[in-house]
Amino acid sequence: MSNQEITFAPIKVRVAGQAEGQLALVDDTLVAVLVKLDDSHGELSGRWYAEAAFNSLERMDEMTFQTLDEAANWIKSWLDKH
Amino acid sequence: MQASVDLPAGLAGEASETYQPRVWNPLNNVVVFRFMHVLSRKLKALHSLPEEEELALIPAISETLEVERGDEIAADGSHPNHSTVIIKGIACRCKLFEDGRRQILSLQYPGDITDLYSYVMKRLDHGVATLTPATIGKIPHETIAALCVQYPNLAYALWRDSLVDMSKLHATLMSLGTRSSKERLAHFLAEQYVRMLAVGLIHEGQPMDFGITQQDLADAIGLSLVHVNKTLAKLKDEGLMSWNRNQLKILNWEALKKAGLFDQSYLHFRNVNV
Repeated sequence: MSNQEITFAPIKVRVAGQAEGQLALVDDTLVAVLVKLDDSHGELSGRWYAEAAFNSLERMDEMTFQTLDEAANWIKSWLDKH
Repeated sequence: MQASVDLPAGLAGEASETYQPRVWNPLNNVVVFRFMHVLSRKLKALHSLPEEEELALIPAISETLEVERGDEIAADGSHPNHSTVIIKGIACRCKLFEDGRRQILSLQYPGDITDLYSYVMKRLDHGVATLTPATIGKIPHETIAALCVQYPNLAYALWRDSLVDMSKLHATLMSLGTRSSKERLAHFLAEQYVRMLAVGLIHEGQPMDFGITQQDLADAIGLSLVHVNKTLAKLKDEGLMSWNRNQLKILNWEALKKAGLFDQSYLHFRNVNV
C-alpha cells in the first residue's frame, strides 16, 4: 500500500435531485466525487458510488462501496496497481 | 418428406424436389414451424422471398435446443460447423475481457441468425450467449451452402441480413462514441422496439417481453449499472417508457425517438415505418 493519504470532504451533489456526496482527495488533490445512492437503487441503496472519477480512477464507477473506508481502500489499492 | 407435413396458413406450396435436408426429424415439426416462421419473418422483413424459398428453410434446421439464461451458444474463437437461429427468447453477441468486463455487441431476437458469418469466416470472433431462457435452432453450414447454390435470391437475403448487422454496429458505434447516456439508452430501446415490430413479436403500442437484466443493458450501452438505473429513471419520469416484471412498454414513441436521435432507416426494414 502506498503512503498516500485518502481524505473525504462532504458536499451536496445535484444528481436527479440533490444527493449526499463526498469529495475524495488523495494528498489534498481531488480524485473522485462520491454520492450516496438513494432508495431508487434497490439493493444498492445507501452505498457510495463514484459519480465522477478522474484520471486512472475512471473505472471506479463500476464499483459501489458500503463505507467510505472501503472506498478509500479501493482507491489506494487501485493507485498502487496503476 | 416435406409433403407429409401439414403446412400452417399462408405457407401452402410445393417444397423443392431437389433440395434434400441432411437431417429431418418429423417429431420436431412444431418447433421447426416456429423456427421457419420467425426466420422467414425476419428475412422477409429485409428482402422478398418467394414461398418456395420459405419452404426450403423449413428442413434446414438440424436440431433444436432449449437453453437457460447465461448459457453459451457459441464460444469466442470456436469453429462451429453450423449457424444458430434464435427461435424463442433473447440472446446476445458479446466480447469479454479476462477481468470480467463485457461488451454486448447486439441483442439477438427470434429470427436472428446469431453467427451466420461463421459459415464464411469459419472462426467466431465473438461469443454468443443467452440473456433469457431460450429455444435455439441449428442450421448446418453445408445446408446453408446447398440453399445458397439452389436459391440465389435466398443467398442475397442472407447477405443483406449480414450487411444490416453491420449497419446496426455502425449505429451502435455512433451511440457509444457520441450520444449522451440518455440519448444512448433511448436510441437502444427504440431499436429494440422496431426490431420486435419487424418480426411480428409485438404489434404497435404493445409491451415487449424484455427479460434481460439492468447489468445486461449496462453492458450493451457502455454505462455503469448505477448510471443505467439513473438513466432509466429519467426516461420513466419523463413518461417515455416503463419496464416492470420483464415487460418493456413504450409510452411516448415520438418523444423516445426524439430523445434518442433515432431514425430507423439504418435497420432497412421493408415492413415497418414508425
